[in-house]
Amino acid sequence: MKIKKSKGLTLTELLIATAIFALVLLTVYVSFHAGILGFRNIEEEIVTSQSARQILERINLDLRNSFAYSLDDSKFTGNPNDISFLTLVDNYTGDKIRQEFAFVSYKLEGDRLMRLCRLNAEALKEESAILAEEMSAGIEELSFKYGYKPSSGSEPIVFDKDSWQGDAGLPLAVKIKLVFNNSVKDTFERTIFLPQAQ
Amino acid sequence: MALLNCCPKKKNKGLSLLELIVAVAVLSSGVLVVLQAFSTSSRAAAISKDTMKAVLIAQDTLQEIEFKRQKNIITEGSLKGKRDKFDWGYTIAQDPDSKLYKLDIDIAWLRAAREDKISLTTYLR
Repeated sequence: MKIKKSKGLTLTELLIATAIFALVLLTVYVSFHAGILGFRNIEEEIVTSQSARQILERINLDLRNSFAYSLDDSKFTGNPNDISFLTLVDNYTGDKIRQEFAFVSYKLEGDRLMRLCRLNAEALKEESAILAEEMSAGIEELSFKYGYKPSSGSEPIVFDKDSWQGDAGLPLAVKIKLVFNNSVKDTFERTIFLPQAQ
Repeated sequence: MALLNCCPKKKNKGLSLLELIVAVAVLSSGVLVVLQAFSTSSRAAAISKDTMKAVLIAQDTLQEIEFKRQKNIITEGSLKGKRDKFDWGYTIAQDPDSKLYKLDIDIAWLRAAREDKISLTTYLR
């Protein structure tokens, strides 16, 4: 075996080793960065679909519990982009759950979905101090269509009205369209049938 | 170092090509596992998102049929339709003994050239 004079690393060897190591580190960094970016996208989509599900479920519950105030004024006001009606909500006081009646309305303020809920005595007060609460932000569109049975024809239900006035009772169904626009655009649609509507 | 001892005649004590290949293979398998985990999680998220939308469509369909049942305009038979990328279809058949309506809802969609599907069955009075 030939004995080498220099037993340590030369500068060139060190440089090459460092360069290779840096290359490996860079590869690892790039792949992890891609992973983190992917994770952020996924998280945003999950948050979006979760809040969409929560909002639609909340509106579903409120609409299916809604009732008409009287025969000539149901207090149900449906517009293309907002809705308000009387309903029953579960109210948690202490450790008891009580069903109380409430006036509920949904509308967009900018990109935020606001839900107003006035309980009991406050329900019919137009000048109430109770403010709407934010349900979610990042919403581009909230629109409603109202289903009813046409007086002529055999169709059980049609959805060609985009507003509904209280003197017509309750609509048979409400079609909701919810468009989220955070970093990804996503549309959710649901049709909610009101079993109590005549 | 067993690899080096097996060839004592060799002058060069550096890495052999074989060692280099093994090292690269080990490193890339490590990186591959990590990348695989990323892609698996993104696929899982896509599946759960699609399933959620499919369930929303199923709920809509079920509510519509409940409404028809309530108005007594339910009919036996099947119906198909499409919403976005989801193909939905349902079949209503009356059970002769119990007089209950059996409702089958199928929702199918394509994800990465493969078909995913959810099927729900319920009975209506």
